Amino acid sequence: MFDMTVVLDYRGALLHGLWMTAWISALAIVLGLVIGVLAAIARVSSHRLWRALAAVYISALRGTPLLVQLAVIFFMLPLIGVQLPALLAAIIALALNSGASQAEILRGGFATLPPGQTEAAWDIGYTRWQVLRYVQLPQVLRATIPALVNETIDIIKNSSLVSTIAVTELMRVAHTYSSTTYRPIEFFLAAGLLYLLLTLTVSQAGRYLERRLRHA
Amino acid sequence: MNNPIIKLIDVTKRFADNLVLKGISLEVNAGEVVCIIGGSGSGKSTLLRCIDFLEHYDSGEVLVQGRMIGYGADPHGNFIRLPERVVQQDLANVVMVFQQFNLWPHKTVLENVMAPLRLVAGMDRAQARDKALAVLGKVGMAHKADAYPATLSGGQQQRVAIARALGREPKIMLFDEPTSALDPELVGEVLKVMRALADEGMTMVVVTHEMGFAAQVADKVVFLANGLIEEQGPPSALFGAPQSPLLQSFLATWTERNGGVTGA
Ligand SMILES: Nc1ncnc2c1ncn2[C@@H]1O[C@H](COP(=O)(O)OP(=O)(O)OP(=O)(O)O)[C@@H](O)[C@H]1O
Ligand SMILES: [Mg+2]
Repeated sequence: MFDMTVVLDYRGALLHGLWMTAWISALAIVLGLVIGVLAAIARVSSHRLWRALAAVYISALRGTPLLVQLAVIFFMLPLIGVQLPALLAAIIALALNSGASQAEILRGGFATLPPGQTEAAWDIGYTRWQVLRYVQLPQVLRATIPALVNETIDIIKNSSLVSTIAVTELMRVAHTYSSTTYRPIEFFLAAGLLYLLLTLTVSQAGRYLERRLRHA
Repeated sequence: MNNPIIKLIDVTKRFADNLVLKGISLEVNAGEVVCIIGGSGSGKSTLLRCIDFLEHYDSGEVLVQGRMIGYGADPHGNFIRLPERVVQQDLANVVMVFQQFNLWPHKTVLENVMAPLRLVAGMDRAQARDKALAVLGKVGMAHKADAYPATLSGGQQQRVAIARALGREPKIMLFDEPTSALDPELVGEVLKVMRALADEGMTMVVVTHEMGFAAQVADKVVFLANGLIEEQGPPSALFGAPQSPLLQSFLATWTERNGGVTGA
């Protein structure tokens, strides 16, 4: 009775779901990187308040399930008058969640940089921003590519949770048609294969990037 | 009257409860080469780093070209830390060369030298490239322009670091044990570059264990011990007729390990 061809009739919807998953994840990872960089900098800032805020943010988002974070943003913010469309709530929750993880990854990367390089840059006249932009970040990003690629894969997988707030990404599509057609095995298998396709693409791209950036 | 280009007045610096500089007063005239010698932990690096404000001194004054570095008065006459940009402006003519070179490993030799020319001096790409190749030529490293630092010997890396510093057209160069991280056979090539700079009239303050270099190139040698200047003077006096017992024993130990002072 198992017959994968049934999903072919719904390939349009599934591919649309895949596309939604891809760009929701992409947006979350990029926003998360921005948040992560800011939080990582705040974490080692000389201002106590910034350090404390960053620490609270990081531990709160790393210490609670994404599902809870989604619920807080989607169901609880309306209680204080902030009404977000599901899609926006999903992206914000994923970005905040990923930002905390990326902050930790980047912090590790910053810690491995010899301080002398920063000192030399300041000494030669770089502003703090230039030191960050031209000396630290390029090296930190390079050193943390494998970890950031893993984080991207995590986000792609975790993005399936946003189906719970009715965002029609891949998981939601699979779920919908598995109940209307009574073919859950075929549809969830198809969804799994499409997730795998996405994550394999990302890890290959990561490997390629790593190779490109590695030098003698 | 010639005004000293660097002047330290009773400078102190402490790390937690460790008083590392206990009141240093020192003058360096334009074009002079001053070598700072002394035992490990005597405060040589800290002293040098206070001059370009990599360490923030606690009291006293550091004056470079007549301007006080790092601190000033606000409109009400209160003593304040100056904003970083102001400090960097006041130190625009000063660059440091480090023991560990501190090149940026993700950039090629040429990019290491070009980047500050673009970002700090505001040159366009072509100008920066010409200038970078010129200073690299000066230290004999133009042929390695496209190499990454990690592929170079220590001596070559240090020469690139010197070129990067020279790109800023400094009037004062600070060297913190520039040859201490090098294999012995590579020390000479770096000292040769430094000698050439001294001959051109560069003002240099050099923390070094190379007594031969100090003896031959320095106008003044400063011996630091326990955070104080124990003795200073022309190399002939310091090495030929040291007065302080601490300096005598420092030199005796050095001679025992290395042979005479005139070598290198
Ligand atoms: N950032 C720092 N924090 C705490 N203590 C420091 C710091 N930098 C230096 N010190 C201490 O200050 C003292 C002087 O150090 P400094 O590096 O100036 O000595 P030095 O004469 O350059 O020695 P060396 O020949 O080993 O380089 C040492 O006791 C050192 O442990
Ligand atoms: Mg030192």
